[in-house]
Amino acid sequence: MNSTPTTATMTFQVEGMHCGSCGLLIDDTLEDLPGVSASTTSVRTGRTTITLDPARVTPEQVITAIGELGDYAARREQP
Amino acid sequence: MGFLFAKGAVLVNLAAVLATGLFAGGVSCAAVQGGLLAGLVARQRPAPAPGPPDVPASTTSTTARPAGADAAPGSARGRLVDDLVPVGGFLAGKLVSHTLLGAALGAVGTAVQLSVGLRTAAQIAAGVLIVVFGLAQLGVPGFRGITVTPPASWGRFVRGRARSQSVFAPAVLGLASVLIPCGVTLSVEALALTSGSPWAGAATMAVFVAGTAPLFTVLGYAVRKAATAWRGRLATATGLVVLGVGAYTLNGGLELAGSPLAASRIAEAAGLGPAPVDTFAPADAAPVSTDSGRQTVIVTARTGSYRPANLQIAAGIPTTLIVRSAGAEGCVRSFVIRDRQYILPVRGDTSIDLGTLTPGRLRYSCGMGMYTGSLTIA
Repeated sequence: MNSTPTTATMTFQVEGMHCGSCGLLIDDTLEDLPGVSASTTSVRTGRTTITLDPARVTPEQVITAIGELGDYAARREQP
Repeated sequence: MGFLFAKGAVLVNLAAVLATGLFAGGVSCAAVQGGLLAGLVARQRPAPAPGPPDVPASTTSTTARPAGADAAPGSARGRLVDDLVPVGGFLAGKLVSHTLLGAALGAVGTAVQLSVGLRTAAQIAAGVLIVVFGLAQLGVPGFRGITVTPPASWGRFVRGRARSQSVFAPAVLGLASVLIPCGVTLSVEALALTSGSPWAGAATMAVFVAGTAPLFTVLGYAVRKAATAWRGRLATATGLVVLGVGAYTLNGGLELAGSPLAASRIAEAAGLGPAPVDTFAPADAAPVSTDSGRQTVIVTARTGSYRPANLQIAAGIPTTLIVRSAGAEGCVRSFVIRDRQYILPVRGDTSIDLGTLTPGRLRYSCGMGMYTGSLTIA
């Protein structure tokens, strides 16, 4: 019996973005993570908002994925 | 030949643009657009089989996107071709869209450049803009937050192309990349705006994109992991290159404007100049002669210089300046004196009536403010 997937929205502060393409790259990468259904990054505010399934992906994995893209540093905003 | 001409108008130094693309542009584009392209290709390729049916979330398996890592089994050469074809398609698409944009910017710049004064202002503005981008890239406090963010709809469009399954998707993504310019690209677009003609603008952007190709191919795609590792280290170097291009562009505008902040004026103030009055006579003619009450001054224009750089002439008599082109190519062909531009031939004389001069100094420069000279009137 499958459990019903749950979704949550998390916001991360991202430092190191310098142009609009950085936000696109972060969103493109995060939406490839299993469990992430949507990612929206604002370069202007330095925030990434993600809709995800907490059972399949953790905030730490999101932070690691962003960090692996280069000189970005991400941390989760407390809800 | 690092310069380009069209319709007699001065264009930009293409060698400098190429160098900007080769280094700053290549790194900047590789870091971000290379990632989008690598993600596109990875999604299009069939997953390697056999494999675990449902791998738990793993950042290393989903974000590294090494080119060819998930390619179908085959020879190394086959994988190389598989990797290079989408890169070639992407760069071709990018070349087309950026060249067209450059032509449009050149046309706009030409339309608004009604006078030397306006062009001088545009060049100063472009220089300031590029310097600001460079400072932002370097993370200088007060500038770090300066980013140019395209409309969200443009971003969604580009991301849609990056997730397409079409065989033409890499080329379309390259075409769409014109919507998401980085700071370096914006800087070159500013140069295209002041380039002098649609052809010059197109050439400026085309040469820049061509310059980005080698590093994009190597850093941005073929060794995606290396690109991420290098980006942080090269961000500073990239910023410095942008800053240098900006300072060079800005100084050209200041030279044209006759500003005391121009490099040649600062050098004079620091005791490094001005150039001594030159009594050197070119082989073919004395630089200053007087006949029937009219003074004639000859300045020779060659690629990269005006000679003599500083001539002493007499005040109080009608004077004709003859600019003698002797294989003049590049921006020296745009000769600006008293806020008026004269387009010189590659070879031949251009006669300019200076009227009766009063004591002082009369400065002139090329249209980009790169090469200068003066007449000392006594």
